Amino acid sequence: MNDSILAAHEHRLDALLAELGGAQPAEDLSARIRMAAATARGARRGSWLMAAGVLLGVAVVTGLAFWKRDSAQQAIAPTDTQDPDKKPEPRNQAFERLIRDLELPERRQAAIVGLNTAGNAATSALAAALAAEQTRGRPEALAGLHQAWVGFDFAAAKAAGGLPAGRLELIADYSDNRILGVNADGEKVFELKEVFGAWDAELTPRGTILITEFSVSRVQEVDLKGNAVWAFEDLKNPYDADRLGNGNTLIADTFGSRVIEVNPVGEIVWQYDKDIRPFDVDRLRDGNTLIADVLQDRVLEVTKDGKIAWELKGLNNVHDADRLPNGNTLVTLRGKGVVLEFDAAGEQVWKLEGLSSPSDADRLPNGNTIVAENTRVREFDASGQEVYRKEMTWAVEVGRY
Amino acid sequence: MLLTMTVEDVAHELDAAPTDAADTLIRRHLRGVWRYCLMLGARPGTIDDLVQEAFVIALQKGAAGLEPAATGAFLRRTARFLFLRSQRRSAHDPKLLDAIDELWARDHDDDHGERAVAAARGCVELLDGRSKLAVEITYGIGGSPPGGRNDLATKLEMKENGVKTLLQRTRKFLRECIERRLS
Repeated sequence: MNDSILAAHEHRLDALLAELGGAQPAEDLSARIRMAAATARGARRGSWLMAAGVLLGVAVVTGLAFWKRDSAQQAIAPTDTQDPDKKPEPRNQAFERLIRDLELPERRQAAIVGLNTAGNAATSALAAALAAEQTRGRPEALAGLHQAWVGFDFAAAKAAGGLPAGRLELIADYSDNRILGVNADGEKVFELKEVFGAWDAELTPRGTILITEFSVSRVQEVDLKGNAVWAFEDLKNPYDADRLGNGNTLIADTFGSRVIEVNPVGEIVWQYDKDIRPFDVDRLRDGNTLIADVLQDRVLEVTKDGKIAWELKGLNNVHDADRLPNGNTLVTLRGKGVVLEFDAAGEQVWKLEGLSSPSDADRLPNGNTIVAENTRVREFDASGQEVYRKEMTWAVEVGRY
Repeated sequence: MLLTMTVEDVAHELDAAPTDAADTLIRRHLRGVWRYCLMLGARPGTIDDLVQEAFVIALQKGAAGLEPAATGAFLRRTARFLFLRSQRRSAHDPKLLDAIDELWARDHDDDHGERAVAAARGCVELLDGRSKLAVEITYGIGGSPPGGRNDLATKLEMKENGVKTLLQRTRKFLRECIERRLS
């Protein structure tokens, strides 16, 4: 028996023992194949859209120029068109009270809602409080401020995109080739169709939607009518993309085995490609990048110069990883059907189990966790009790804004 | 040609197979292709995605209309390509993959690997004492959570080198036992 044949027998033995140990196809794999085949057919029907990409390029450049100009103007002179006659002093006092309330667990939610409702008017007070608290370093207070800040960003983004105020959920429905926006009652606010292999959808600061299309290897930014305003296509089956604060876009180019940061004119300005197959990527507040790497079953945090700053191994089929405001990391393991929270030392501190092929989970400002799991989106409280459910065809990503 | 094609490329060329043919294809070949991927060395967590993509390509390519054996061969060839694409190229020896293909064709093709699983189960039952425990712990058989060599050394109260030797000896026994039962 030569070496190759012996190694083949070893592989067979490993496979057989793994199966005796419980390795099995997912229960819903047959259904997934049928749906994926339907998705590929849809992609073929819509391929004319890809051909139109060249023409859209001109529109993209023009749109970005306007966007940059608008952003600059907004930064210099924050608008407050909601109530121009209101006197500044009482308003600032109200913001300060709301910011103080963020430190009180029982008042935190109401304070976040109040600050988010105020929109741009609360920017200065919130920014000053964040800066002060970062120096002071109380984790609980900092987490509350951060949640309020993120919520404030979303409120402004919704206003910029013409979306109604209040809760918005973006759901990527892979099998139906669509992105669905629903309100707090689960009612449809908008729908983007012909999104081929929709695997991710994010609300951008200017109220557009950044979508990741796995099947046609594209990340595209569209308005609520589906008009493309930006696209990047030098990709191989990506799973995730985020618009960064500097206007660049961070992309998990999954089967391109790299994470890239692309500027608005499509230049790659940063990348990490050392033995990874990234299913999810996030830019952290300190500039590091958090990557869910399926190739080596790990979550890693890399610095700008590509050094691994933190790593958590043994995470089989990890589809999503989020750094939480308290410094912990929320991890979604699709194969095991669990969402786990780990502290910085790698100790598991929370677990949500019994999920059906989850591919995305987010910790919400109220402490609950929302999960996209195949045929539904569900929200769970800290004790694991389901508190919300939205039935879908095949939800792979959910974001609540 | 296949090496440069994506699912979408293939979809451009051919119409989808009828639904009943797709159901038959999936029902008949799913378990076998999944086992084949496991044998190639793909990790259980990623096999579902590999298998899904292989079937989508097969359906778009019209493989559902082929003879079952030819369909199976097409699916495995596609899965092998997808597996290689997902790995570092240098990590896999083509001779090894060819040897796995030959082994599959010889022992597994006719029943999608059912007999081999039964043979492995029977051979594990023949083990006793530390050998059996070592295999059960390593592969998580019988409900025990899978553990590494360190866990084994602790549980079996052996040194790591001793565990290594024990596993080598046990694996050799199992390989030969399975080979005998399949021949």
